Amino acid sequence: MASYNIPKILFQHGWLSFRRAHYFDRSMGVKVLMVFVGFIFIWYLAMAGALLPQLLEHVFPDTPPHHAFFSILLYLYAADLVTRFFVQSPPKQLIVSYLPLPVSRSKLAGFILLRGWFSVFNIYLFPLLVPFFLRTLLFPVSAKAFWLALLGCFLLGAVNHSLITWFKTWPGRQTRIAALVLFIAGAGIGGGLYPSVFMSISEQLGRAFIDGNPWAFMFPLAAVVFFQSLSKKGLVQSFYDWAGSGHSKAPAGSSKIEKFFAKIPVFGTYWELEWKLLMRNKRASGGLRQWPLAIIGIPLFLYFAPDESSSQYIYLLVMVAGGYGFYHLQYAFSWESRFFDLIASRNTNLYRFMQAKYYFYTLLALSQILPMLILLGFAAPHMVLPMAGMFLYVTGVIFAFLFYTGVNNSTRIDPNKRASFNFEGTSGTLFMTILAAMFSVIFLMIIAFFLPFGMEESFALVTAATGLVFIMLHTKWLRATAKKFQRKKYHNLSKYREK
Amino acid sequence: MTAIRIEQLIKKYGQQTALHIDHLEIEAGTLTGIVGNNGAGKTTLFRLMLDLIEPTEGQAMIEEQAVAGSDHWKPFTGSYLDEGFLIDFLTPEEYFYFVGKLHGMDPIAVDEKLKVFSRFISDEVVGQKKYIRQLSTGNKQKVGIVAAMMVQPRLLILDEPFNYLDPSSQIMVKRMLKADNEARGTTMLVSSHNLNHLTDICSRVILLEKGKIIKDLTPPQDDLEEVEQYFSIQAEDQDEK
Repeated sequence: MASYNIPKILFQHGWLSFRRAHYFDRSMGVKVLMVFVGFIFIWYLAMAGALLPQLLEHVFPDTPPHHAFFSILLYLYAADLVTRFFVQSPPKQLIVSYLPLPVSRSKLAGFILLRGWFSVFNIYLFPLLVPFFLRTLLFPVSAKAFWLALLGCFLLGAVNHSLITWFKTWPGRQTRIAALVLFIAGAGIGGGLYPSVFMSISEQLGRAFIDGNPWAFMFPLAAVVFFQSLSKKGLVQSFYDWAGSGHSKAPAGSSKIEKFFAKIPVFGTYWELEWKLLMRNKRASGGLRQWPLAIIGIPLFLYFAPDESSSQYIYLLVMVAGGYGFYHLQYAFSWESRFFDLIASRNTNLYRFMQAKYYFYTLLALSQILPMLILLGFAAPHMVLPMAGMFLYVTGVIFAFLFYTGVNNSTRIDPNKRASFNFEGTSGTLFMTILAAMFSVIFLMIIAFFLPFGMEESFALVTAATGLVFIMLHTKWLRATAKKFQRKKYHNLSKYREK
Repeated sequence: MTAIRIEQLIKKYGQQTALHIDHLEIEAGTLTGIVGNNGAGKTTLFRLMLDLIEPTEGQAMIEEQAVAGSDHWKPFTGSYLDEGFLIDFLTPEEYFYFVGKLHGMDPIAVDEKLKVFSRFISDEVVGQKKYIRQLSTGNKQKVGIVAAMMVQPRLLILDEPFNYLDPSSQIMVKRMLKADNEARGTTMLVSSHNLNHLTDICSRVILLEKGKIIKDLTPPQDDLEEVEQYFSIQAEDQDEK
């Protein structure tokens, strides 16, 4: 094997692929927007970390805040594991081109595993943890406790990272899926049925961290080493799959949903295409696959949020009540930019195409909102009506707004590019459009305020009524959108062709 | 019967004129070749004929109806210009079924039509469980050509169909076009850089240069040496520059 420094070369290539990634190839305005959004995200986490001690003191007045926090530490990292399961990509660089080179597969696997640690998922909790531990440990307890707590949390994250890496790189997934589902279900059932036991174990673990108990660190460390070595073994094997013929996993028309869509007259052809676009592209499927999390996460959030503050965040429901459609339709028509020439020159009717798209995302939103409403019935019953009203508002008014303004989306986007931090297709105009869609709800809240019912009921009434009007008139605004698109067709098609 | 009529068709990009055709008529059932150097305006002409770009002036008509802003020509027109016509996250089979469905064909009918092209698309394209984005450029080209032809259009528009294909496949494309034109009387408009390919199959060859028609020939009556000579002079001019 060659004696040159392969890891160094691979790291250089890794850096270049990051530095030259498409999300840096943006206008200055979008770059500023990216930095702004990143900053806001970190700032929110930091503020949450800084204010968490007061909240915990309020809820658990007899317990030091860091002890209260430790009692939910395992829940936090269980949620982190579930998030990683849906969102974290496997550390699979474009390794195929390196395989014919004189580099051992073992070295390549080692490099991939090492590079996998440079993931945003291994650091995203720290903007929250650092200010929290600064306030609760560094000054009140000791600097040693502060650093040990951070190290312990890092190790818990590392266990999740290693578990997900093993899970996503080992050839043959069925066994691992079963193992992980059993693990998560076991932890969930354990935590749900015996919360006091679970919280007690969690608290003891956290306290063992700050006490410097070596066993508290040894167990997660051993798990990390175990899963990393399993991953390395699996990776070497996976190279054969990656270097193979690049076969798609899903044979043509194998999915039952696709077959079902194919049988539906009039809209079936478009729905089948829409579904395949969602399931076979990284960015589109990345957004869609976060939805199971939202269905559970939103009722959980509303369960813990105090009832009296509902009016403060009720307008945020606009982002979730339309399901995945709210995100997808922000880039309406750009998703097809790579093949819009085909749509435009074949035997398709633009109005029918848009109608099919509208029904598809409304039905998808319905399939997402129904389980969420059922969960809300248990977690926060007072929010069921506002959420249902908002569903009608979003699928009526907001979808109409996104379709109509979507005609201005003349940027080509690649639905197969990475989902996370992918600002392709985002423009200043689009940003303002989304802000307008979100703030439109405030106007309805003002109207609801003057109605002679409770806030939630009034809000539900106003949103449902306006939404229903737009849903009933959908053929009219869809025709208007199709006509508008027809007027802008040449401009948009020319922009879609720009690479 | 006139299948295609072009009147005073001009396409400008800023001050640059990409295409300027005063008058052109193409009779139904003819196999017409468009030849020209890069930037001659071949693709611009095809995009205008498929209503994918807006003419600055004039109009293109298919079966005596203006193309711009109309859908009347879509049910009987098959076309493939470039990869922008392919849906890259579908497998070739799915793409054929999708295009077939748009033209009212069920999967059985599509499978039946595909049999005609079985030698051309071979085992490298179908039955591979590969998405179109995973195919080689040549195989993508084959998918586009087959999808355009299998719907048995009255009008077929192909831009550079011989590009990226191996010599055997190029010959097969020529045979397929010729056979379809003779059997069904399909009006065909095919562009190429390669004059020989076009003279082999076309009953009419139009030479485009800098957006204008400079020759309109009907082989074998017209001597195509003149055209070859034209390209030779162009090449020599480039060498001198």
